[in-house]
Amino acid sequence: MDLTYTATEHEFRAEVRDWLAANTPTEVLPPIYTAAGVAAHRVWERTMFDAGYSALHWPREHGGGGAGLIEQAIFGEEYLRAGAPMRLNRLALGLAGPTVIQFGTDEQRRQWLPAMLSCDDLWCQGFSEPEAGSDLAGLRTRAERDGDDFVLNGQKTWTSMSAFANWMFAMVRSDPDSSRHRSITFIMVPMDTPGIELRPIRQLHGEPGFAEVFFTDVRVSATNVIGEVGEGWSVAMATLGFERGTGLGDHVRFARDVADLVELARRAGVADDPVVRDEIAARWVEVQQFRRHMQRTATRLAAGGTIGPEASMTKLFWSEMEARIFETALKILGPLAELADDAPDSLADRGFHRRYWHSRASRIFAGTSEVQRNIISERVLGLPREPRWTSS
Amino acid sequence: MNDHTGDDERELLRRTVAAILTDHCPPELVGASEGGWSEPLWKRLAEAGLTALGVPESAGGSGGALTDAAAVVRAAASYAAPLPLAETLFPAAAICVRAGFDLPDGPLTAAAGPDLTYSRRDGGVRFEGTVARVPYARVVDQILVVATDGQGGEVAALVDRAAFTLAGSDNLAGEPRDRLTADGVTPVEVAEVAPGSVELVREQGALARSVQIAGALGEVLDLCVRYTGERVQFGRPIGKFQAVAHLVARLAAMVTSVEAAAHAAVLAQAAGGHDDPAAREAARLAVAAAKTQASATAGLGARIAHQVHGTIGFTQEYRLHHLTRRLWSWREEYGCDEHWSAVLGAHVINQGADELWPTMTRV
Repeated sequence: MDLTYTATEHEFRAEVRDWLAANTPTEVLPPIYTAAGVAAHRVWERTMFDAGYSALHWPREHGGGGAGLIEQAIFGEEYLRAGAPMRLNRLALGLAGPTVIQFGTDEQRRQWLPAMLSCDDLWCQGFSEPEAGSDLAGLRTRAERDGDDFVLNGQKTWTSMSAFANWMFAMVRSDPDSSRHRSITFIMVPMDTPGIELRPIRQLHGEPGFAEVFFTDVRVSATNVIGEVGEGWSVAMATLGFERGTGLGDHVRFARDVADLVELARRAGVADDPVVRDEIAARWVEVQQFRRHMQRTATRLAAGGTIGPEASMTKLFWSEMEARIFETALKILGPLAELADDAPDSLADRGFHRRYWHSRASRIFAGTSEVQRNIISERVLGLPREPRWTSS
Repeated sequence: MNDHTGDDERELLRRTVAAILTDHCPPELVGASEGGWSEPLWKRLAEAGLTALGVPESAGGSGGALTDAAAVVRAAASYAAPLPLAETLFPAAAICVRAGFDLPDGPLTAAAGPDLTYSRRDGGVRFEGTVARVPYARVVDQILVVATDGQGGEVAALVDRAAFTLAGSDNLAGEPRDRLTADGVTPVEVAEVAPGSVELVREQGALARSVQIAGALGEVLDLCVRYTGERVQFGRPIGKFQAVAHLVARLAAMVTSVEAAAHAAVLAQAAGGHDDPAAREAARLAVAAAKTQASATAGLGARIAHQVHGTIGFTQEYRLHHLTRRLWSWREEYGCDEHWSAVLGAHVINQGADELWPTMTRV
């Protein structure tokens, strides 16, 4: 692995750092699940778009920055280091867009890509269903062909951002008689189509975040299908694969979290407690391990390598590490850990509980830790496959 | 181990409490009571004589053993009942008995800590100072305070809640935990109490929280067993996957160990009386062991429960969070595992090597 940066890469880092220092909003934007938050984040995304930073990883011919993986990693590091806002249209820029670029027709690219970049369109993801979580191929939302349209009936769930999104990229079952994986179609659904209803689901920490989305005789044009009808499983797997190139700068976020632990230990008066120091040091070492791992991944991918099932190790490692970081935070807070973040005596004014709870969720979303371990044991290590039962 | 009430009778008691709570403490009530409590639910339990159990009739209680009080507190915790029941039946009742007060009607809480002091003036007693995180202070009529004079004297007193200044804050589960400030407060009733009463409040609180953690973890286990048996993925209940089954089995082992430690501590307290120093010390060690075990296990148990439930466990409408947010709060209250394991460790070291085995087998 090559951990040295070229002169061009150093230059790029300096340029990004300067731009972020000059442009990052100084105030914390309202949360992304409120109308005010969406509006404020749109303004920020517009600033990024005008500077050409909105989709660094997209090819230039589609409006992206055409950046290589090392540059993407540098940008990710600097973005997090600057404490810049959460990305509003992550699902479009990270998943839907690259899918359209790879599998879409020219007309589809013209229809969707520019509005993703400008954030005029916001996108949500329609994969999970009540009966199809870890077992994604068990999905049941039906799509029946009727003339030039498909008619959708069924339900999606855990749909983030659905309240503000005007498009959903969805997996639907278009041929109930075919096999589990060969009967799925990938389709783009306008969220204002008659027959779509949302029911918000509030999360454990009290924030809204996701919703159930119900489809009753929802008519969607067949021109919205991405790839071939019945080939949606392969398209979706490629979509999820795009996630694997992202997150290259995420170690900076975790390093900041550990720096927060140090600050918290000082404020709580336990910075000289040997047990606390041991724990914080252990978290720091883990973050450094993660950083080296991500750098190694970036150099391998930049050299034309591919990343397959070993991506599961990365997800498993960071999600478990994140949970440990916030468990350490609660330990530092000690008796004050029981108080809600907004309580007058609380020291946890940086939202440690919210982040602790979110770290619990990280071990569940995008493939649970158990599913990741299965993938590692079977597809990385070649251990015998767990016996499979099928639901159909 | 001697037990004042037989297992059958305690099971009957548990069922009585469960029947009332099933009807009158649904998850909607628990959710709606965050930041407060449920007075109607308290009245239901009071009418059934369950809010003064374990306190002698001569002291204004409804009789019964401490194990009975523990059975009620445990059942209430498994429903996440929004009531100061544990506070009333353990720390408040223990101080009432020690001070010779008649247990007042209605819910109680106890406030004690190093920053609350008393002084004698004009023939009366005045309290000054603060206590942080007093459970349910804002909803009770009277608060039992225990304070020191800084020279070894301790008094207990019953004081109207309105006599204090309260700054409201809630724990992670939305249970009131208020900062109480006394500024020259004069009590309704006051009595000198034996030294160590301030610490007794913490000890009784830790005992109550251990029992509550056992109750909540037991319910969490039931939810996990039910969910992993019903939730089908890949064509079979997820409980049939060994990775999931092993997590639930580990949770079951945790519940059993916390149950055992909490029960042993309740029995030791019941046997500990108030006079015999050796029995008191044994009771204190049993509480230290129970709270260490309960606090250390609460977070691990909650982690497993959330992992096997997946995303549904992260929603407001599924009741798991009523229990897990309490577990995350209760593990810190009245001393976390570090605090009580230090108490346990100091005792063991002071006693010397020859006493280690006798102490372990006694506790």
